[in-house]
Amino acid sequence: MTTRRDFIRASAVGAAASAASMAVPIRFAGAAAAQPPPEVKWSKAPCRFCGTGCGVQVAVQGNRVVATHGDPEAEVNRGLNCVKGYFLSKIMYGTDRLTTPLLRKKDGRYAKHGQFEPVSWDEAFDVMAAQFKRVLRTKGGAGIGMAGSGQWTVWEGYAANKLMKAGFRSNHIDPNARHCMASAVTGFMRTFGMDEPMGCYDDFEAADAFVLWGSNMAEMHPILWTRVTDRRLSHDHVKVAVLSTFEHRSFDLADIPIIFKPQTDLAILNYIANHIIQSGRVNEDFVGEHVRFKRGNDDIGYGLRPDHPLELAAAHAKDPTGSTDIDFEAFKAFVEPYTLEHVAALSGVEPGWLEHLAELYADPAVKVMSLWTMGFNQHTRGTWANNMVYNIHLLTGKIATPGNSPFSLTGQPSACGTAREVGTFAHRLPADLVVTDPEHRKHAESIWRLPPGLIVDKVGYHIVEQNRMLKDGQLNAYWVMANNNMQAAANLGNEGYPGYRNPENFIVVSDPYPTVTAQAADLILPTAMWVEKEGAYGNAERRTQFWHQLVKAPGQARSDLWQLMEFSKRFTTEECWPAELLDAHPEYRDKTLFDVLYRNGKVDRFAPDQVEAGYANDEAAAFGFYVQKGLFEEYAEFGAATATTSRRSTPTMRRAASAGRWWTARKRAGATTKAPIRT
Amino acid sequence: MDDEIHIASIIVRHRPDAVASIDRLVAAMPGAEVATREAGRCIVLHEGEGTRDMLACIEAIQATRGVISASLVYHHAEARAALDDILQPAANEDDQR
Ligand code: SF4
Repeated sequence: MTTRRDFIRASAVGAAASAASMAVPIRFAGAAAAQPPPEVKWSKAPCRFCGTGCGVQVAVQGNRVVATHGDPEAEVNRGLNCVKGYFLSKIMYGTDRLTTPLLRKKDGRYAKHGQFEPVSWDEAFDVMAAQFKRVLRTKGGAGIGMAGSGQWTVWEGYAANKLMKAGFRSNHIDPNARHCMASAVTGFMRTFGMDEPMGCYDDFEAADAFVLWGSNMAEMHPILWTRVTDRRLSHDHVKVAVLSTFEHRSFDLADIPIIFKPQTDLAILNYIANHIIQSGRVNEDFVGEHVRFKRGNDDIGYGLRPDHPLELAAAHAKDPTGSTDIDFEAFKAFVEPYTLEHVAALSGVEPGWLEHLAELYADPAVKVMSLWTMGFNQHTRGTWANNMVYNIHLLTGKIATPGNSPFSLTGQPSACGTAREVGTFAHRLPADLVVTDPEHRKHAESIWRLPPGLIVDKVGYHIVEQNRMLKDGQLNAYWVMANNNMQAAANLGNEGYPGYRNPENFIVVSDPYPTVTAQAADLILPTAMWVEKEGAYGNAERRTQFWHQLVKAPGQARSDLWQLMEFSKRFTTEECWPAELLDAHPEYRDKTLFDVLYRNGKVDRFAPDQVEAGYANDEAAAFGFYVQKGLFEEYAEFGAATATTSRRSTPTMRRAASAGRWWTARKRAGATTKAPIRT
Repeated sequence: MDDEIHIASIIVRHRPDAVASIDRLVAAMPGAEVATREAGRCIVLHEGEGTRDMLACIEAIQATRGVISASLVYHHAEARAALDDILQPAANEDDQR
């Protein structure tokens, strides 16, 4: 006899055995072969908890997720999940889940100092639209801002970007990914001219050495760490170097353990470059063909307010990414003082360990993967740290070949796929285009079927600046989605909280839970999460993964996508765009933002019956077209056409055969343009 | 939370000399058992009352000397009352053997 318990236990063991390629023990084999309970339906989804992008199988029974297991067919994780993955089946069912809009009220009306009271979506959007219009009348789009996230799905970020940059004509949209990824992005842009990695996870099985620069992969990226572990334990020649300012769990596997004094990682990187040059192991063919040398500005300040004394005293505070051309000899002379003795003294690291480390890079026979997260990206000189690790890979030509891979690991599930590739930044448009380039703006306006000259040509406020501008009363209507910035951002007491509570401002926070950010808002909108909606995320190796809606969101909770699109119906083009623009293009008159942004003949061209059979899609039902597919296909045009219109040809995406189907893509960019080495 | 039972499986990778300490740990943990093992790795099956039990189990394994990684593979939460439902009578099971 097989009970449900026997079956579940056997399934658990079976899944683990298959993930580890072990035999299923006999005592579990009988129960595992039983017919599964018919009311349970299994579907695929990517995990929502980090940028690794593990594939999971999700079991739904009666509109509830009851089980998850690592998907053995997912190339990222091959059947495993980390302990955070365990929360996948719990995250939607917290007792404090928000299920209705909440508005601060006093005496039955909205009041900045009122208490939160439940309201209908209609009342919530009425008050919110009135507040946004108040700001539009006085400041135009310049007074409206949005803080987004690497946890938006691809189309949520895309729809938000359109609503802000084209609808409200405001570039003040920026994701929390700015906090964690700014250095990684700028590092990519300065070295390669494009924001895309030149390696992928398959490098784990091809590398001879792994170097962790300020990353505790064992705890933070445990599934990728399993791949490092497997490689190290099954191949005796493989070496692992771990660099950190303190000892952590990744040191358990370290052959080369290095604890250095804070900031001296920069000196260590220059020492390695010097070691490569002095020992005659520069890959001259590669360098001659692919590399040019530049000296970057130093004394660049700290990104504080421009009138801060530290910024005023910094010579290059206004041009932190500026640089001048130099040649190899000048670079050689620059790193020459970084000798073993000097850097050992600076860093406090045993010279022997430093030499072992430098040899991993210098030895042409060793394929090396450099891995980093916040140790580099939230470094005081994070962009330099990124540039400098590329320096040592470029000097040796150890880049963009299997196993040779500098690799920036990411934290959020779609910091790459949504924030970066969709370009939900104050300076960006989709596919690495920028708002400051007239050709790029024209290209976006044409794909969006919007009048030329609509997109504003100035970079908007980035997420740190947004809090400052809220405090200063420059930004007055502000929508926060899929992030907890009151918790995450620096300077809460001086900028964040005073900004949100500034009486001139109206703050909206969309979230599934009452975070501290939500509690600092004036209006809280309850949000559907993860498999309560159809979605797509792009992970750290730029694999784009799709999932179906598997359950319904609780109560009145609605997806960010529904919120953005439904809200856009309350604005006309006359209220948002200048009269001259509408005079020149009268065909856009008497239309709502919804009409021009989402009912534009492209986004609305797929019927709801194209949603895969057997799966709900609340947005398709609400709007009468397959919203996600329409948005994705329009977005895909940026990838298809960018190469001919942009200097930085970066087709960041591949067309999906069907957005309704599970689909993955990964690219490996060759080092075909000259990449600068920077001092 | 409702009255639920959580069943999970965990792959443990360890240095060869960690077998005895893992066995001791699992024996002392109610609801846990080693389902199967090979050199350098084993599968731990855990049944408990909720999140806390499960996390405690994974953390204890991870903290054991010689353990390199403990990865969750499968997790199922089920109403306690439904667990003893019979999916398949004994006869069928014999047929399949
Ligand atoms: S490693 Fe990241 S993506 Fe994978 S299961 Fe853990 S949290 Fe989820």
